[in-house]
Amino acid sequence: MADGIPTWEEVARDHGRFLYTVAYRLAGNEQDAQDLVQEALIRVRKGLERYEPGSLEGWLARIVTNVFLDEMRRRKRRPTSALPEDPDWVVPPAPAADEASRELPVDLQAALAGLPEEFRVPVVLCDVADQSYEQIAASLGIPVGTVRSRIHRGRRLLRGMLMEGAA
Amino acid sequence: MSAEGMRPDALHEDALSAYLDGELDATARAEVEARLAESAEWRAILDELRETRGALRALPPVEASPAFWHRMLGDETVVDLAAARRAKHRRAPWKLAVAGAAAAVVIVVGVAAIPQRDKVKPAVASFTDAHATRSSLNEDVVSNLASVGIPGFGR
Repeated sequence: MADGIPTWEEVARDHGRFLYTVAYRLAGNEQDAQDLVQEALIRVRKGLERYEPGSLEGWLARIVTNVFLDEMRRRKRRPTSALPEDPDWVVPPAPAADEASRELPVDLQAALAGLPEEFRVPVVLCDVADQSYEQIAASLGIPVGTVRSRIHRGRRLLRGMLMEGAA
Repeated sequence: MSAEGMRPDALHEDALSAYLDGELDATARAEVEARLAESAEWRAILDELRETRGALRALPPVEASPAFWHRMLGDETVVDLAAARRAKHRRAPWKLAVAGAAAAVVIVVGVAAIPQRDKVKPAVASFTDAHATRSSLNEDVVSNLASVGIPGFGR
């Protein structure tokens, strides 16, 4: 790493899994996640020279989110169906998950994928990518107050979907 | 109207998520804690939010298939990455010493188990001695050597 700017290999080695995890949680299936990461890596490669040292994962999360939102807009113009999910590559829930998570139904990913995009994106950026409200607001180009509201509503909706599924 | 019975309008409910995320300043945080102290409804919502947030954050990382990374990065880079991962998990020096000692024991035992020359069957040394004796008697090296190995040959 020179002057705080990572090399391409460093990005892939140290942050590839992070990038793929965020992509998967946004997209909800393996095929779409791979497409998102592929496009995101192309943009990362093009943009590495302009990267300003700071939160690299914040920068990566922003890129993959923009790719996702671009793709959503494209699909709205030209609807397509997602390929079925391949569960083989989804790591099962960690056995050491905290007490709270064990009380919830396990199909959290399915519920997350069913969350409307306007709520899913800020929830994923907050709870999966661990971004601050300010970072999320900058990534999405919306006020911090809107981020706060959407994260809250997203979590409440998710809770309702999980409880409904468990009933 | 008591705080218990009213909807929290002035202090919006979404402050609870911000509270859990550490996104409130000291003043707003104190307001939320005051409301929580007096409202069972808010406490229940906070518990649900904490549970949902905890579950989301406990979701494990997702692994892409190795084939995907090969496609994305090319074989050379993937091999480099694999080497880097191995380097991260390189054995501690004492483990290497133990592994070396174990390997030495295996070699010693293995050598001891190899059949010794004079225990080989058939006894190759006596076999060749027989050839040498026969050929030295009549100096017909080829026929005498062959007669030992191939029955009937040279009769």
